[in-house]
Amino acid sequence: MKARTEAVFRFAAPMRAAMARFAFLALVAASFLLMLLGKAEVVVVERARTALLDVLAPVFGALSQPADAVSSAVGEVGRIARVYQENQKLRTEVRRLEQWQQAAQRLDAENQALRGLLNFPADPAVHQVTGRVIGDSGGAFVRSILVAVGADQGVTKGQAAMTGEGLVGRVSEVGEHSARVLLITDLNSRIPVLIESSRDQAVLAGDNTGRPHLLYVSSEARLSPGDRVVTSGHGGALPAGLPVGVIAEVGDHGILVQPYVDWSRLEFVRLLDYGLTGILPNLPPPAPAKTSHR
Amino acid sequence: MTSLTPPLTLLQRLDLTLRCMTPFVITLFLALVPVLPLHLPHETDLVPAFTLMSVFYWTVYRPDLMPASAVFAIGVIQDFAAGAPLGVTSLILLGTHGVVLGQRRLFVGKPFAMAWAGFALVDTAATAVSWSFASLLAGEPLAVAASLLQFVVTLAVFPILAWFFVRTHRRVLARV
Repeated sequence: MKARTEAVFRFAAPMRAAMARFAFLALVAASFLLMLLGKAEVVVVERARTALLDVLAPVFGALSQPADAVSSAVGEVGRIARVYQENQKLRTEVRRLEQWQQAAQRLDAENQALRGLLNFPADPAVHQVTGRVIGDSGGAFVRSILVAVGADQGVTKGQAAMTGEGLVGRVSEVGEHSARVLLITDLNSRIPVLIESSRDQAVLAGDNTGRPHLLYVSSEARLSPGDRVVTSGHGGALPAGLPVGVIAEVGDHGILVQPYVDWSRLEFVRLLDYGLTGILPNLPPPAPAKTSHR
Repeated sequence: MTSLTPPLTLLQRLDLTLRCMTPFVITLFLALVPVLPLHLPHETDLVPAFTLMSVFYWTVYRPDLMPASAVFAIGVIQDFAAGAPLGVTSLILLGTHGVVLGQRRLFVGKPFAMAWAGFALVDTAATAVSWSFASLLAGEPLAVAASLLQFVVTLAVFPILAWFFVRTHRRVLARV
């Protein structure tokens, strides 16, 4: 009995080592295969991505709530210390903005009247869904966020994501209850934009740094730091005129744009449905939202 | 087969299984931490490679509880969660696992500085490989600054996380 067990062991140990080595190599090969499949953007991989997104979304949603609470509590303490100063600043700001509001209302009325004269159709009504940010991209090479609204709220791929400040990015993956937004700073982000004052067109390209740069700017374009950059509406996926940022630097490393969005305070984003549902077939009508703010 | 110890009850077996899963569960949680929105300034640049530390530690001290299949799964889940190019993290973690498994005698029972030095080498290689593959998959060389920063932060955070691992190791896995 004893001799037999020993024999089994003598045979089993190398066998097991060989199996382990084989399994290890197979897993390494599987990693490479995943890389290729991911790069080729195979449908199966995309399905798996969205499926996993939906599984993880509630986990992130639950975990991000205490994280939100802590970070806002920390911010609150700092803000209380400066509340008087801030109040004074806000009063002057409000006075200034009241004047702007009047100007804007006057211009809006004038715009409506002129549009009426020219028979110019109004921009399609934009339907909005607001979602809570439940995840940041946690890597050195990606800039994206997870949002807790998905296909069941009418979110589709390509929609613009905004905060009150400006454009955040575009929806790149949609799950049933969650979506991933590719930020405008991501390496793969390309947004057609124009310079508001000079109407020069360009493409805003991310490079994983905080300040994306402008591509394909015409050589005659006169740009200077401080110029506002807005979406041009070309390509049809994004509405025209969404604020993106200001030109921060015109220099040797190209034209850098400072986005309006404060990346460290992304808590909610609005997803804009530009009303493309009329063109695309087989798309479910946006369900009546329970939790969204419109 | 006769054994001197009595067979385990169901609860005991459940307890044992849960304890044995601790390294995997911790690492899985660490894979999801970077994705949590913590609203720190510039946080996306500063996320340490938590899973790298975890895989390194458990491969050195409890390789039986951190098999290659678990390492692979953690890498895939991390890439999925972060929206990163698929396969890169699992490849790096598997490489770490494979290399460390062969050299673990260098670290077991030695002072912590030895393990830290070993981790520095692993971190260097992992940073180089992840940058290369990310650049390759992006089709252009990416900015090095973010990778370097991640390298430094990862190295600096390792002792803190290792302390936590040691505590867990002693408390949960002392007799497993």
